[in-house]
Amino acid sequence: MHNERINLDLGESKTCGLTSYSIPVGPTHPALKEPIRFSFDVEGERIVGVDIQPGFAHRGIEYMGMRRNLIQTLYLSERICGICSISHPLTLVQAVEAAAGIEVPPRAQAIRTIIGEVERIHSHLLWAGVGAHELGFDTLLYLTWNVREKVMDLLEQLTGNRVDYAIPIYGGVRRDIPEEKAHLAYEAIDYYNGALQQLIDAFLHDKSVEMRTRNVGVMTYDQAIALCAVGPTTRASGVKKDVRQDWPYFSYADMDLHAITPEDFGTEPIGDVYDNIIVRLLEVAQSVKIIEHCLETMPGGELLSIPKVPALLAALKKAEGEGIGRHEAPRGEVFHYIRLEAGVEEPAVWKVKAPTYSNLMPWVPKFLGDEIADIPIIAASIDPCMCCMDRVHLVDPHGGKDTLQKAQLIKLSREKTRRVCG
Amino acid sequence: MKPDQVLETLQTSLQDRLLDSHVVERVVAADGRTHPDLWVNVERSVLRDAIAVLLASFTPHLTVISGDDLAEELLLNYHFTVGWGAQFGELNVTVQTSVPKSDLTMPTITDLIPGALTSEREKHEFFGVTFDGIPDDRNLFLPPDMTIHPWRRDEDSQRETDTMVERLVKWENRDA
Amino acid sequence: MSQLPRSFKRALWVFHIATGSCNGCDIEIVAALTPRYDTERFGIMLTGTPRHADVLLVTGPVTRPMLPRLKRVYDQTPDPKAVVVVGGCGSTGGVFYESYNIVGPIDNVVPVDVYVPGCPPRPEAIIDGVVKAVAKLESAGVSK
Repeated sequence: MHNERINLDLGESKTCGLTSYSIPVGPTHPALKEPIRFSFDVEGERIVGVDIQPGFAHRGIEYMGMRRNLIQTLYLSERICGICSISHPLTLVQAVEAAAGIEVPPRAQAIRTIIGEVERIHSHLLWAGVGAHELGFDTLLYLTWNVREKVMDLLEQLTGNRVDYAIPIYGGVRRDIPEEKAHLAYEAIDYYNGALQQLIDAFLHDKSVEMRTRNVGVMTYDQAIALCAVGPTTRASGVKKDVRQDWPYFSYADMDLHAITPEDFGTEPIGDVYDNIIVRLLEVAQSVKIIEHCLETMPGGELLSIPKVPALLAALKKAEGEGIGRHEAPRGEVFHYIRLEAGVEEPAVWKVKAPTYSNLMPWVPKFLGDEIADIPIIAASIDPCMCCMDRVHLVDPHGGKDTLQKAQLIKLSREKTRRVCG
Repeated sequence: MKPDQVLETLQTSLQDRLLDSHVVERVVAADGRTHPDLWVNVERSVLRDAIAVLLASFTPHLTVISGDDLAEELLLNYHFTVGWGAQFGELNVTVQTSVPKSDLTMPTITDLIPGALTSEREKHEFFGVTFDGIPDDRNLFLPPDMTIHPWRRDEDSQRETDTMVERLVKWENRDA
Repeated sequence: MSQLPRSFKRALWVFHIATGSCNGCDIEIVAALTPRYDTERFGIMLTGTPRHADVLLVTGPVTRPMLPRLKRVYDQTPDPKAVVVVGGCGSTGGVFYESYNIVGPIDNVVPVDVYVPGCPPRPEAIIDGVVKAVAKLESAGVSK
């Protein structure tokens, strides 16, 4: 195995042979997200430079959205991402309601909050399973995703679908959470209150996970601020940015919410992968509390301020103005800017900023200085929504190229786990 | 953070180079509370100074740069937020500036805010704006050899973009 | 025409490729492997390389950069193989029916055996699609 023959100590690079790698990894990946291309400069096993080239999943969403009426754009926005599928509609409805001056009844705001938080739980559990898979702990992948199925059932019972719920609409929500269904949510809450400690033990109190993730993929507080990172990625570095805390919208204004950082677990934030796990698991606990609060304080009243769709379309066609919508999706801040022109059904300008857009550059300091075998877990640590290894090219300034398949990259990662854990 | 605090700071430093400003109040939360959004407008040559003022007095977070094609010129909106970190503390501050289509160049702000690189590269490929001093001007989301500017609305750009557009489902005489 | 090898019924290996999808279908495909649906008890599992695959699961409306890669993955998959398209955007373009960067749908690029409609389809529907693909291969024989 070439691993034993490589000298990891950069100081002796001139006399000992440093092998170079060029790893093109197929655009697909068993634990999926969208394809992306990385180019790493390496010296031996250490990464000294990284170049990120996205664009493989660019569909021209804003271009398409600016040629459709706003209701069609809403359904398009839902399919920007299938994991945080309600985050984009929630932000778009905020932006359009601001631009058009449409009011929203309080019950609708509460329902939006609840479904958004249930989605956060499913997304964080998904991420935890994927992270475990990258490290080689497939048992944890199955355990976590099995726990996640409970929340998928809840989503299906409340909204009618596991993914793409079509709940928000301009002026309210399309479906209610009636009294008869509230017990389903309470059952899920009880289940998660029990399961959460198991997950925290499995991830955070496990020596192997700690050895593979502590001090790996570090981003400092100052780097997080300079690179405009968002979401759990930035909170893991100690930056207390959370749209629900800073700019409370929907029902978050009624709650005493604060951004979760590793300090809530009792440790100093370093900004490594371990801190990312801490923040996301604690946020699941926070979401459960938010859902409970919203259910208990759910106001009565109507769901829609403009119930009939043709009337809504007419109101939107007459509307003129600009609006900004922001939401804390599971991955970070989602931002939509929209400008409406009177007499025209299509939006004049629609700008979408997904959280991974802001977290693309923070990937760079996370990779530098770490080993090739850490690439899968560092790439997964920002919870990319346009992600994972499309192609990974490693170019060594000293030598030629070699090629490894994606399966071998995961294999390297798992071998490191075995090596490190003894 | 209140809009007046930010506006005052900008006005003190920029004085009459701050062309325009307005505050939009809107209801965002279920309890009826309103959030103000601050919009300011400056000349292209003043943009870097305005951002430097924000950086010196606050810790702004750059969300994204959005753009609007207004026939003879582009309007670029630099969306910032100021005052994050405490509950109810954040304010949206958007700095707008116009770029004439006859001279589509802008100064880069990546030396002030490294995280702006993604946004600037995106505006370069989607609108054709050249950012002076940008460290990397390759296409980011579009394929490397694509030269169209999909978000431009003038006739020539639209025609060019239309040559690349494919309609996947052909419905007879009906629009989807 | 010879019979499909017996191993087809025992250990069906599936390779998944996303050509610019929103990940909804991709996550439901992975969910089909988890203990709730547990396709591994039938021997169906995801493989890391198309060269070992029997069935190709393709999602997404095929963006321009992914077009050559999809073709290449299809060519790398040895016969007998079946192509299953998962999701509405792969079948007809779905909501992405008109864009400058999309050249699909998938049957414009590679021959497709089974379409699983839905946005996204449930894991049960995806498993049904894979089973139908195998049945189709069996009834058609090895040479396609």
